[in-house]
Amino acid sequence: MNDPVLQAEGLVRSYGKTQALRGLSVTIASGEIVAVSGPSGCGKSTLLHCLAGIIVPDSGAVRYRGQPLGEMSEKQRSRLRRTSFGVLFQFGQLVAELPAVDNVGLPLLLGGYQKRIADSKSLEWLQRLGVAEVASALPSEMSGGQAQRVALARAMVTEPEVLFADEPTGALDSLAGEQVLEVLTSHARQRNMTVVLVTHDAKVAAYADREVLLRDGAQLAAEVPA
Amino acid sequence: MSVSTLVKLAWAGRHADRFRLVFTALGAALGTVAMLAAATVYWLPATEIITPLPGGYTIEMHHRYTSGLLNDTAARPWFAAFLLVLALPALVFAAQSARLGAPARDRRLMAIRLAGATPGQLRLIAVAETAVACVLGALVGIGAYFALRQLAPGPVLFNPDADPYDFPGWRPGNGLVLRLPLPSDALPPVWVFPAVAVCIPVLAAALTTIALRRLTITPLAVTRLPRVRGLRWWPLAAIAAGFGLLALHRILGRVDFGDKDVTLPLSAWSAVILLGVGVSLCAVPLGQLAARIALRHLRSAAPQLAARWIIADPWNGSRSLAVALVAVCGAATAIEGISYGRSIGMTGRALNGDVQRFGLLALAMTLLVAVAGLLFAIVEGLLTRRRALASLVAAGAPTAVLARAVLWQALLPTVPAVALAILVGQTAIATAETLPSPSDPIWAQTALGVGAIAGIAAAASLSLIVLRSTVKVTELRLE
Ligand SMILES: Nc1ncnc2c1ncn2[C@@H]1O[C@H](COP(=O)(O)OP(=O)(O)OP(=O)(O)O)[C@@H](O)[C@H]1O
Ligand SMILES: [Mg+2]
Repeated sequence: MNDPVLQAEGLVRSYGKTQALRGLSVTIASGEIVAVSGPSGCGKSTLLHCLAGIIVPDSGAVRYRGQPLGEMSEKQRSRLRRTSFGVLFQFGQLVAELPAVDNVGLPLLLGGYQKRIADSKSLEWLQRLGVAEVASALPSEMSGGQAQRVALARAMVTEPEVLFADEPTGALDSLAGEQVLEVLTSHARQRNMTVVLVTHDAKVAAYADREVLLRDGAQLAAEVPA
Repeated sequence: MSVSTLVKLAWAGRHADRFRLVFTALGAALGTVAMLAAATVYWLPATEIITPLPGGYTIEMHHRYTSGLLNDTAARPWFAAFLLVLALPALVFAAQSARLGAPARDRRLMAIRLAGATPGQLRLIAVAETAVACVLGALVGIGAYFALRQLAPGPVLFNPDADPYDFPGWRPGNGLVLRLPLPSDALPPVWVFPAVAVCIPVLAAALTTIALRRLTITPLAVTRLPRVRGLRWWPLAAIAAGFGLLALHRILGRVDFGDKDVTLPLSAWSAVILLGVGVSLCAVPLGQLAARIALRHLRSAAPQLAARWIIADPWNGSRSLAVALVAVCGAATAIEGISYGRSIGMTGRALNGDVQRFGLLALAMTLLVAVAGLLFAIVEGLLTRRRALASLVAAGAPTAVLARAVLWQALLPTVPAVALAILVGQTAIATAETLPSPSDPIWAQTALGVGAIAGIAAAASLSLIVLRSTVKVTELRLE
């Protein structure tokens, strides 16, 4: 295994009485594509949010390249997410009022890039993911698959080290879903990007190098190579 | 669709819907009180009355109220009209409330649409909901009006000499007289009450239709109509026509039409309405223009987002509220100026400081109502966009940037609109006045404008409290 990018140890996270994570540990190596799967409600999304520093676990620690996320301020974690992480959700993450090119360029603007550079990088990524034709379309004018590829472009445009995807194909039909997964995994492999892919679909998990199976907030079995 | 089905569907909502109905009713109640106050002032009897003094004496009074504004029969219609204008922001507030908690209702309506309702029927449900709330609000307003009459202070001792403009030529030797601070002794004709109770819901329903106009509810998603095309500058024509009428008014002011003449109030009022409507409608293309300029020249994330929000939805509630505000500022400025000029020109005496006091009080209330409505509009915008905003925050967008975007969105269209309102107001005074006078200095207008903008900024800042909870990652779980 390569050097670990993310290490989670003994993660516990509860919502009221529900324990979403009960002492989960997982290590993710650089350049690896890991599928996190399991039945609905087993804590997959919660794990992803903890790993990405979007929420903080009640106990346990997540380390990114050895740095514990829990010791960072919210500001520092935002910065980390902006620069080193990319996130992709099931749907509805694009800003409805922005055309594709501006949606994709937004993280760059937030990172202090000039608009001109943001635009050109954004177009480049739209082209790469095969959605250049919707560059000036609003999200409401795109198909579900196109919108998801635009969202992927937005997650990739900062060239993050780790991409977190929570059921990225959950709202798509199987063909559009396969296309999204195809571009996602191929570009990730080209760039040696680490991917954490949450899914409850075995077909989706098959795109990964390794599968982590969860049940009731804990890891079910030894990790199975996909 | 039968009436019972309509009512059932309109009432099928939950928590946020109750809030919406309460605020809609509140707006309607405020509007009712403003309208009834206007009617009371308009129908004040012109006769003199005998007021008893303590100790069994009586005194004959030509003037019953502490305010010269109420005593001067020539000024009453102006004052009544001013109060009537104040009903407008209250009604806009009621219509604005129709959008409060609207995402939840829209989703409910969507489900109804899926079940086969037509878009027209859906809008009817929303409008019916507003109308019902407004009927209740109007009844509460009528109740509040009578309660306020009861609570109004009784006669007070008053020294007419303290007010040199009060009624020149009448100087009582003994100084103090008894006066009422408010016209709590008079009532408008009975028919006014049912008329207002009908008028308020109808007006509010009409305004709600406008507020919902850009919303098309499709079976699959709630989408607003797509792109907006060129800027529409035709409201400038209304402003030009208003100034034309004012010039005419000035000429008419030289002609003596007699005491009961309506030409002057009519020409001045049509002019004021034209100017107010023109200024408010201009706020839309002005906001669009400001947004386009910001889009081109302010290239950081916050103004870019804000500009896109404005361009995508030019009639967004926040702006329509700002519009109402601008209309009132402009109208108030013009009314004050015109009535001042008229009183000098026609009767040779100025109205006393009550004009200023009433004007300020009314404007402050308007501002408050407008700012509350604006707050709703911003919060609603945040709730509608919560999913996209939450995912931006998850992707590392600092909340501060989003907060700045909210402020930009509130201020980009308002600043130029308020500036235009002041400009038009000042020019209106200059056009209408028949005598040169040190009416309102420009700094007073500027202070008013700055106050309005500060209020809007305050509302936007207050809405940021909601921003924190809207961008929580849990929003990504919700449909
Ligand atoms: N904000 C919350 N409030 C209360 N309970 C929550 C909250 N978020 C998650 N839970 C609970 O925590 C558990 C794990 O949720 P999580 O979303 O991580 O599951 P998941 O594996 O992603 O499920 P799915 O496949 O349906 O998305 C569930 O039982 C859920 O009900
Ligand atoms: Mg999930």
